[in-house]
This record gives sequence, structure tokens and C-alpha cells, in this order.
Amino acid sequence: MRAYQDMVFSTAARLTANDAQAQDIAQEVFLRAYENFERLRASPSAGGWLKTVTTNLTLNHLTRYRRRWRFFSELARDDPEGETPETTEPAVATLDTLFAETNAAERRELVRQALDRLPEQQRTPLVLFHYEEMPYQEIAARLGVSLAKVKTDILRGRHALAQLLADSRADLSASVDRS
Amino acid sequence: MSTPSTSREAELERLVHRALREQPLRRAPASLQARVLGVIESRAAVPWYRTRLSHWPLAARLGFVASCLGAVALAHSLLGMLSNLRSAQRLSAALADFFATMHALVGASPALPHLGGELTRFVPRDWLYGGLVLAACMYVLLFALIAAAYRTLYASSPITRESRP
Repeated sequence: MRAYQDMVFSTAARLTANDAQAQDIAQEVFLRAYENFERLRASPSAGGWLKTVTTNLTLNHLTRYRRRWRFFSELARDDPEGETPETTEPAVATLDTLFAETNAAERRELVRQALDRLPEQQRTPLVLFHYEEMPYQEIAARLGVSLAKVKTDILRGRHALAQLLADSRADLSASVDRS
Repeated sequence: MSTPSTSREAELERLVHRALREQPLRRAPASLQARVLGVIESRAAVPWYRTRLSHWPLAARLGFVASCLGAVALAHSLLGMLSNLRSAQRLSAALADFFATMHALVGASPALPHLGGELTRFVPRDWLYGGLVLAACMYVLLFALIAAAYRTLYASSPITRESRP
């Protein structure tokens, strides 16, 4: 358990952005692993099994809450492309600056905070795409939404992440200047 | 051929991917292991007959299956006996016996109708109807409370137990 608990907790925490829920999910994952202990003990794919179970349980957990926002968000927006920023330049510039002007530790903290602050409908597909390396089609199938919506949410998520990073860096600079 | 817009989106994707993949694993809370072990211990303390059927000992599972099969065989043989009542007279005789038994049972409890009669005589009719309406309302309220408790405590649990990888 010690070998995998950080991986299991991280997978759940990135998707939920909630430590308490991630801990509940991790607990359930290890209880299921205990039930399958004989099969997993000698299996070289135990890590993959744990990751799959964690992702499934987390998505299952999120699905309950997603039904609420999906109903309203899809009613509210007839045009799914309507809110996507027109240009990618500012987001790319923000990330270029981030890599140029911060060290790895600062960057990790800023990115972690920004990821946690993303809205769930953007964070979930973004995490599945970049961390779990799921293709768009599979993300759409797993989340029960259209392919177009997944692509739009991921694109918006990237822009929103860049914007949050820019805001965080601005706040950090302002606080440093004041002190 | 890629347009400048798609190439900038690809660049954004690459940068976001790099930023996210730089993230180290989050450290699991120190309490996680103790929580898991605690649940395992508490589950181990539960007697086997209160766990899921798949967790029962093999002999108990076999016994359960055998008793289920026996119940099915018994039901089947009873149905066969009923269908073997060849004549309508035998069927009507069996029904007459059944109704005679039921009549005897009703006749043996004359206090119930008498009690009903006394109630309707001495208790005002409005009170009786009011009581019936109140009982119905209490039943509906209890049902709603149980449904709300189920949805709150069980169905909205953060972990969906029915999901399987």
C-alpha cells in the first residue's frame, strides 16, 4: 500500500480537487485491492489495476455531481464555441513567461493551485487528457458527453489555466512589491 | 497543412502538458493507511453470515444453494400436486375445505367485528375519518423521511459501491 498510496491519492485528488473526497476514494480503492489481494500480490500490473480503479471510482463519484451542471450548462449555451477565447497568443505567452521566470518548485505550486481552481467541467477532461493520456473519444465516452464538448472544454481549460496562472503570478508580484 | 491558429493551439497544448506533467505525486495523508486498516479490521469482525454471499465459506454457500434448489423443487412439486387434481369435484372440495377453515377462523374471533361496532357507535364519525386521514398522512410522512434519509445517507455517498472496474 505504501508503494502506491501517493499515486492513488494523487489521481483522485487531481480529478476532484478535494483532499477529503480523494482520501475517501483512495480508501475504497485499497479496500478493493485487499479483496483482490491474492490476484494482485504477484501481478506486475498491480499499479495499473489500482490506477484504473481509482480513475473509475473518481469519475463515478464526479458523475453524480456532473449531472447537475451539465443540464444547466448545456441549456444555457446553444453555441458551444461561443465562450472560447478568440486568440491563443496570451495563453501561450503566459506559459512561456512562467517557464522562463519561475523555478520548478514555484511553478509546481502555482500550477497545482491553478488546477484546483479550474471549474470541474474543464478540469476533469483536462486531467484525463494530460495525466491519464486518454484520447478525446474515450474521455467523451467516459464522461457521457459529446466529442465536441470534450474538445471545447479542454481548450477552454487550457486558456483558463493560463489565465489563472497569470493572475496568481500578478498577485504574487504585487505582494512581493508591497513587502 | 496547419494554420497559424492550430499551430498556436498545439503550442499551448504542449506547454500545458509540460506544466502539468511536471507536477509531482501528491503525498497521501498519513491517516490513510490507518483508515484502511481500521475498516479492514472492522469488516473482519463482522460474522460471515452478515457479509456478502461471495464472502461466505464454501460449505455455507453450497448449503445456501442447496436449500434454494430444495425450495424450488418443493414449489415445483406443490404446483405439480395442484395440477394433478384431475376432477373439478376434487378441486371444489379442496376449495370448500379451505373456505370452511377460513370461516371457522373468522367465527372464532367475534371480538373484532364487535370492537368495530362499538367504535362506530361511541366514537364520532368525524373523529374516525380524521384518525384515518392522520394515519395516512403519518404513513406518507414516514415514507418521505425514509426516502430522504436513504438519498442523503446512502445514495449520495461519495463512493459508489456498485461501480466496478
